[in-house]
Formats: sequence, structure tokens, C-alpha cells
Amino acid sequence: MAEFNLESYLIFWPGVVALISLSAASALLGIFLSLRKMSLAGDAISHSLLPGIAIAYAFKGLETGWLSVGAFISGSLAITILVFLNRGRKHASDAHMALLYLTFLSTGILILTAHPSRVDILDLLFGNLLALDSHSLLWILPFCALLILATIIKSRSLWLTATDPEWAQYLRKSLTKNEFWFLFSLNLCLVLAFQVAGTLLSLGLLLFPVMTIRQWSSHLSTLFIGSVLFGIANSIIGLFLCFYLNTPAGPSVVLASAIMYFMNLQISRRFAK
Amino acid sequence: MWANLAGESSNSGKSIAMLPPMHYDHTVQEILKAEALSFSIQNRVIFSDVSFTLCKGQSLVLRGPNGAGKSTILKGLLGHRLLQGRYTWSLPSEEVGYLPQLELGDSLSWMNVQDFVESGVEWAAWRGPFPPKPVRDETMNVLSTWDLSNLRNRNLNELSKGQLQKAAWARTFRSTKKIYLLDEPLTFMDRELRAKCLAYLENLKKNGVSFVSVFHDTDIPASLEDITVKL
Repeated sequence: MAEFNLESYLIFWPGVVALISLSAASALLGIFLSLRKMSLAGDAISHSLLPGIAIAYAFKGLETGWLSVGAFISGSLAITILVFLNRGRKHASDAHMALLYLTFLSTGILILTAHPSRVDILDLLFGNLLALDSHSLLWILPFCALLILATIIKSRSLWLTATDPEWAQYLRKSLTKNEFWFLFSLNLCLVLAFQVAGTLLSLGLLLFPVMTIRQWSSHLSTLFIGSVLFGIANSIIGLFLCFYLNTPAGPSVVLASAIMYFMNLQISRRFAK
Repeated sequence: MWANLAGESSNSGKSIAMLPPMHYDHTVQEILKAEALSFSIQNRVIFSDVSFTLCKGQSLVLRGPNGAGKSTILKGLLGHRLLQGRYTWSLPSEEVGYLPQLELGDSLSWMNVQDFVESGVEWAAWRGPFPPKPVRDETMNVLSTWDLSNLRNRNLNELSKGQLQKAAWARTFRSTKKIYLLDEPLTFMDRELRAKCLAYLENLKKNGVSFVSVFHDTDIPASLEDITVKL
């Protein structure tokens, strides 16, 4: 193990800033993902980003902007198919979702391997936070801010359309519009997150913070503050793990979040007794 | 406007629901007129030719066996379902209250009583995750009126069904409306609470409030059943 020296890691500041802002945005969207019981769907969508990324890479090389555009298109396609499979049902069957993401994932891997590449496939699957440069921040930060702001403004209607659709309709909130809005932001969030945690792990940024705070409260305002705090805390702890143990950033953050979840689970149970 | 609210309808039947008059007259006594309403799912007729006229301060009760479409009529009148036939409201939609049958499923564990009762507040009051202080204060009052203060931090899945129904009443009746659509409002309530709630309705009715309700039980006071519609 290399000797730990925090200062030598300061050159990775763009990645750190990106991760912290992303974890705040993802934690907020994660509340509604978990509330809509769409965790598996979120997983399917995040895996489905790969073909778009692969095609963008084949044509444009390792350019973050193009990779993200490719990812976004691919994610939108996956969502459209998911909504189509969903028609007439309350939730898409898990088998459909498995079918969807396995198809997309293997397409992506085939494209990547067919193309002689210098990029490590692991970077796309698990993210490479430390490779982010300050230019990427120029668009990651505004998009994160936009997501956070929009989710805060829309939170009451997102919450109500998910918890009590009948009542939301009575208050004249459109279920379709809210669902569309949610899926759109989810896609955007996963696209932003794939560079940090990769297509396979980005869901961890969304889901773990809200699962952790749910051990303590289910009050919407508490969930809001708590999941953002846990999201940021998990990222910071994960980064320390990554720097100290010299492990990849994405998996370290996800692992730290999982440890945080289990710790909170135990402590909250103690309190409940 | 009411016809446009049907955006979420599950039935693609053709609707000829009439728009309410642009300038409604508050002195007009008639507030709801339904003519030849019918509803069918995949060519199976659920009900047909339901007509009634409801005036200010009247209470209409829909009766019929399970699956006769009683709840569907209420949802149709609110614009959540597309009904065939025509219905005319002489009231703006903001004056219509609604007590639905609760179908919350897994969402029950995501809401505590306070959140639930707060969700009854009009949309204009706030949008974000944090209700403003006046709303929270008012919610506290409503909770204590309905004897729910000690339950306010409990999740809905920790309540009994009767307590849940009481919370639903608190949510609906926290805002004053001119007419309420009530879908089996007394289910799961004990005898004492039923009596209180019926008295509450009678009191509202004396003040000119109207009701369209679905009751399974026959033992409701005659004063709350001016008009009976059998499905």
C-alpha cells in the first residue's frame, strides 16, 4: 500500500467536486425512484446506456460530451421500450426489465469489443472518477444544479403522483406528465453518473442514501435533507477509502454507502427497541 | 374545463360531457345535472342511463351491488374517468371536495399521518418538499379536531383501517367546499365514530353543503338521503 498523502490527491479535485454534486442530485431523485418501486427499472436503464456510449466512442473517441449524448439517446430508447412494455400494467415485469438490460448491455459490449480500443472497458462499466478534468465540470455542475432545483420544485407533485395517484388527479396533477418528467430526469442523472460510477454502479448513488435515511423517517422533508446529507457523506467516505486503499473510486463509494446503510439499519433497530 | 380533466382516463370511450357555463351564477340552486350517463369496459356495459339533478343542500346517495359502477360515477364526475352521456356542473371545480376509497398499497409506509393530511391542501399553497408554516399550523389544528394529534408521526401502515379512514376524512374536510363526493366514507369505522361522522355531515348539510355519496350500509339517516339513485 502506498503511503497515504492527501495532498497528492488534490489534482483530482474536478472528480471530487463532480462526485459530491452528483451524489446530491442523485440522492434526491433516488427518493422518487425508490418510492415508485422502480429500483430495478433504474438498474435496467443505467445498464442500457452502454450501447450509446460505445457507438459514440467508436465515432468520436473518448470525448465526454459525445459519450454523454450517446448515453442519453440510448437511455431514452430504453425508457421508451420500458414504457411500451409497461402499457396496461402497473409495473413492468422484472423479466421484461432483465431482458431489456441484458440485450442493451451485450449490444454495448459487442460494439466495444468489435472496435479496437485503447479505453479500458472497465472504465465505462465502473467509472473512472479520477480521470475527470475541469472541463467536464463545466457541464456536469450546471446539469446537477438544474436537476436539484427542478426536483425540489416538482417534489410535491412527484411525491403525490407516486404515493396517491387518485388524490393527485383530484388535485389536477397529471400522472403521465409527472412520470415522463421523472423518467427524463432519471435518464439525465444516470448519464451524468456513469462517468463517476460507470453504467453498472451509478444506481448506488441514487438508491443507497434514501434507503439509509428511510431507516429513520419517512417524512418527505426529512427524506429530502437526510438523503442529500447521506449521499454527500457516503461519497466523501468512499473517496477516502479510494485514496487510502488505492481502490477504484466508483466501487469504493458504493461500498461505503452499503456499509453506511447496514450501520444505520443496526443503530435504528437498537433505537426502536 | 371539467371535460378536459379527463386526461388520465383509462377508458377511451367517446365522451360528450358538456362544459360548464363560462359564467356560473351562484344564485342558481341546481349544482349538478347528469343525463343518461353510462359506462362500459370492453363492450361490457357497467351501468347505463343514469340521470339525476342535484340542488344546493341536497344529498344524493348512489346504491347498488358491488361492481355496479358506483365509484366509477364519482370518478367520472371528477373527470378521472370518461363517462358517456353528459353531466353539467354549475360550480367551479375548486368547490368540489372528494373522499376517495383509499387504495394506497405500498405507499402506506411512505406517508405519515401529518403528510397525508397535509396533502389535502390546494396545489397553490406550496410546491416544494417543505410546507409553509401556516399550512403546518393549520394541519395541527385539523389533526387535533379529528383527534389524530397523537398519531401524527405514525406511518399510515401502522394505523388501523378505521384510523386511516378517519385521517382520510381529516384530509378531505380540512378545506371547505360546496359539494363533497364521498366514496364509502364510513367503511372500517366503529359505531361511535360513524355516528359522529354522520352528525358532522348533517351539520354541513344544514349549512347548504351538498353530497353525492356511495354508501354500502342502509342505516344512514333519512336526512342524508334526499335522492337515491339505484344502479
